[in-house]
Amino acid sequence: MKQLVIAVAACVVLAGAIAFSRNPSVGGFVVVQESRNPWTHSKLNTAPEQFQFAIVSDRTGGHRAKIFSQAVQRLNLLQPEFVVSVGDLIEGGRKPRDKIEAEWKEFDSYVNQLTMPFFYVPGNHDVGNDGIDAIWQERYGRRWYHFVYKNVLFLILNTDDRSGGAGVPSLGNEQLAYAKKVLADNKDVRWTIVLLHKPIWTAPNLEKRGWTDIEKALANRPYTVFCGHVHRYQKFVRQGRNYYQLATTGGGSRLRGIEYGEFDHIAWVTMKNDGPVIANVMLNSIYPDDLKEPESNEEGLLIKKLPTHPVRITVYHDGVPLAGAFVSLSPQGLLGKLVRGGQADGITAGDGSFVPSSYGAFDGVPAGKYLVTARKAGQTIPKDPKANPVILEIPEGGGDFTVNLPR
Amino acid sequence: MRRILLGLCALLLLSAAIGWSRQRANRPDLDFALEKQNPVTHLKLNNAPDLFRFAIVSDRTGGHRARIFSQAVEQLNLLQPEFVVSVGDLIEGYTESKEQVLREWREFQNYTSRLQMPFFYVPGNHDITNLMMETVWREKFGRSYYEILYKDVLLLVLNSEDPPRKGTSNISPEQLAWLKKTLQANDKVRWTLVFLHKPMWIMSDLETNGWLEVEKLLAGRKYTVFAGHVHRYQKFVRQGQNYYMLATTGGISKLRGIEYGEFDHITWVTMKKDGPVIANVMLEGIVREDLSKIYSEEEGVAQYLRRPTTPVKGKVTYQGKPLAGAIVTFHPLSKDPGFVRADALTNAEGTFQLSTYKANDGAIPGEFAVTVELRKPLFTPEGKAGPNQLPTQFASADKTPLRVTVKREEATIDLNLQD
Repeated sequence: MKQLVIAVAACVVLAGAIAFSRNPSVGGFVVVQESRNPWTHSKLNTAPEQFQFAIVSDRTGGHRAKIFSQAVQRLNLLQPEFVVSVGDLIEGGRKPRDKIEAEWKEFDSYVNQLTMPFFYVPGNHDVGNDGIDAIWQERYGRRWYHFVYKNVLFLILNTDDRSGGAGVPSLGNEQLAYAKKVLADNKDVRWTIVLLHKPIWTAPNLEKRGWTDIEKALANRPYTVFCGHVHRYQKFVRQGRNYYQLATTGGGSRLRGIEYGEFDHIAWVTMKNDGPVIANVMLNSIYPDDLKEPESNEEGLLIKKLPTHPVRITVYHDGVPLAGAFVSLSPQGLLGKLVRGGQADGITAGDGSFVPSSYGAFDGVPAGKYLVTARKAGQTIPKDPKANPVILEIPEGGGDFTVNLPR
Repeated sequence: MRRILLGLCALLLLSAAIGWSRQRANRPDLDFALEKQNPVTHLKLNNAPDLFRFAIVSDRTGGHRARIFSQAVEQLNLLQPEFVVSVGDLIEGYTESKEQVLREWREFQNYTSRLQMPFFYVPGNHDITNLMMETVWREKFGRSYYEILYKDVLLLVLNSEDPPRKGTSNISPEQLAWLKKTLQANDKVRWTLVFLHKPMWIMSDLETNGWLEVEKLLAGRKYTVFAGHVHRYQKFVRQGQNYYMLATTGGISKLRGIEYGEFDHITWVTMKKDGPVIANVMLEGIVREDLSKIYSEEEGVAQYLRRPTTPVKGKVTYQGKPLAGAIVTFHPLSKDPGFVRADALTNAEGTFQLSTYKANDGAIPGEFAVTVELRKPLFTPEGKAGPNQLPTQFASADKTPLRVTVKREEATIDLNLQD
C-alpha cells in the first residue's frame, strides 16, 4: 500500500511538473465556445518558436533631421522583440577622433531609447577607414558575429573588412573562416538570417570577394539576406533565396516613393515556423495614440544644395518615345560634386517624358550642362555614351526639353 | 527492497520530469556570446511570456470604398498580429432585405476568412440595423456581446445596438447583468479591454443609454476602450482611462489626414505587463516585401447622387487678424438633399481649403450660409466640442451674417469677421 502511495504521489508530482512546464503562469486563451461564435476561428497566431523583430536601414549620406530618432520612438510603438540594422549608422568618414566619438554618442543616445535590444552592423560609414574601424573595435568589439534565437541563426557580416583592401566590398579570410565555422556549427537551425551592409553580390569578381564561398556555405539551408547601402529598395533572388536591399531610415534620399524604391521605412519581420513574413512599414505611417509626431532634436546633416529649376524632359530613342527607361543626367564639370549621387535622374512615362530629381522628389535640376544616358532592360542607351555624347543644357528657369538618344 | 526500488524509480522519473521541464524553461532562447565590448545595446529581449500583440480594424461602412478593407486583410497578414478585433460596422446593412444582408455578410466573411489569425466580430449599427438583422447576426455569429480571457487580460465585446434603434445607442439590462457577472468573475485580471461600436459617452442620450452603468461597473480597474462609428480618430480620457474612437478601414471618409483624424488605419496593440502600447499604422504605409500592389476584387459602394464640386479656398480673419485652427462650415441653403455641406480647418496662416466628399475637393456650386467656430480645445477630454472663442452669431447657420455664393469656377472666398 505504501509503495503504491509513493508511486501515486510521484506520479502526481510528475504530472504537476509537466503541466507546469506546459502551462506558463500567465494563463492561456479562454473563450466560451457555443454552436455559433462571433469569431472566424480561435487558433491564435502564436507559437513558442514564433517571434517578431524589426530592421532599420541607412542613416548616412547627408542624413535628414529627426528621421532616425523618430523611427526609434515608432519602433517603441510597434514593440518588436529586438531591432537589427544593416549598417551606415553614423556619417563617419575621415574625421578627428572626437568628432567620430560625438557621432557615436549621438547615435547611441537614440538607440538607447529603444525598449528592446539593438544589434549594430557595420557599414562603410562606420568602419570604412582604419581610424573609425579602431573606434568601432573600442566601442562595440566584433564587426562580424552571430547569435541564435529560437533556433534561427543571425549571421552578421562586415562588407568593409579592412583585411580585404579598402573601398571594395569583400570578406577577408579570417571573417570567411569564422562565417563557415558558424554555419557548420549551426547546421540544424530552422532558418538563417544574414545581415550585412553592402549588396556584395552586385559587385564583379564574387570569388575574390569571398561571397561565392559564403553562398556555397549557405546553399543547403533556408536563409534570407538583408543589406542596405544603395538607399534604394530592391529584392533579389539568388540560390532560390530572397535577398533584400533596404531603402533608408533617415539616410540621404530623394524619397520618390514606392515606384523608385526610395522611402524611409523599417522592415517588420515575423519569424514563423516555415520562414519569415516581411512587411515594409513606412515611417510616416506610424503614429502614437495621440497622433502627435514623436519629438526629436536630431539635427541631421545639412547638404549644400544649388537652386533647382523645374524641368520636364521627353526622351526619344531613334525618333521613338523611350518609355519606362531610367534616365540619368550627369552634370558636367564642377556641378557634378553638388548633385546628390553625382546625377539627377528619373523614370520615363509612356510618352517618354520624365521630371528629373536632384535632391528631393521631382525637384528639377540646377542650371548647367548634363550628359544624358538611359538604361532599359539592362541596356545602356546610347551604347557608347563617350563616342556619342548627348549633352543637354538646362538654363536658369528650366522648361520643357526634348532629347533624342542615338543607338 | 522492492518498495525502495519503486520509490527510487519514481524519484528518478520525477527528477527527470522536473529536469526536463526546467531544461525546456531555461534553455537559452537567445544564444549570444558576450565579450568585453558588444555590438548590441543590451540583451533584454522584449518577449515577456505575458506579452501579446493584436490589431484592431475600424469602420467599413457609409458607402465603403473599393479595395480598402480587403487590402487591410492582406496587410494584417504581413504584420502578423496574434488576432484581430473589430469595432463594428462591417457590412452596409440598413436594409429590410434578408437576401441583401446575407450577400453582404458572405462578401465580408470571404475577406475575414483570409486572415491567418482569428477575427473577432463586434456589432455596429450597420450590422444590426433592425430586428431582422439582429436575427441574422444571431444565426451567423451567436452572441452579440461576449468576453475573452487571454494572458490575464479580459477582452469585453459590447453591443451598442441592443436592441437596435432604441435611442442613439443602447445597452440592454440583460447585457448589463452579463457585464456585471463577467466583471465580478474576473476582478483580478491585469487589464480590461472594451470594444464596442458607438462611442456611447459622446451620445446625446448618455444619461439613459446604459453607458454610465457600464462605467460604474468598470470603475476601479485598469481598462482601455476602443470604439468607431464617427469615422474620425479621437482620444478621450474618462475615469482616468484612455478611450479611443478609431477612424476608418475602408468606411466613407474625406481622408484629410492626421490633422482631421480622417485616415484608413489599423491600430496595433502590444499588451505589456503595465498596460497597452498603441500604434496607429496607416494602411497605405504597409507594403509587401516585393513592393507590389495588393490586388483585391472588393467593389465598394458606388457613390450615386454626387454632385460636381468646385475648389474653394480662402482666408479667415477676426478683427483683422488671421484666425488659426477655426472650423469653417459651408451650409447649403438649398433644401435638396443632394446638396451637402463642405468644411475645413484653418491652418496657422488662417487659410483653408474646403472638402465635400474627399480631401480638398471644394464645394458644390450654390448658395451657402457660412459658420465659423474657434473651439479650444477642438474636443474636450469628455468628447464634447470645446468652448467657442468667437461670438455665437458666427456659429449658427441661421444667424450667421456670412452668406456666400460658390460659382462653377475655382473660388477664393475670404471671410473677414468683425464683432
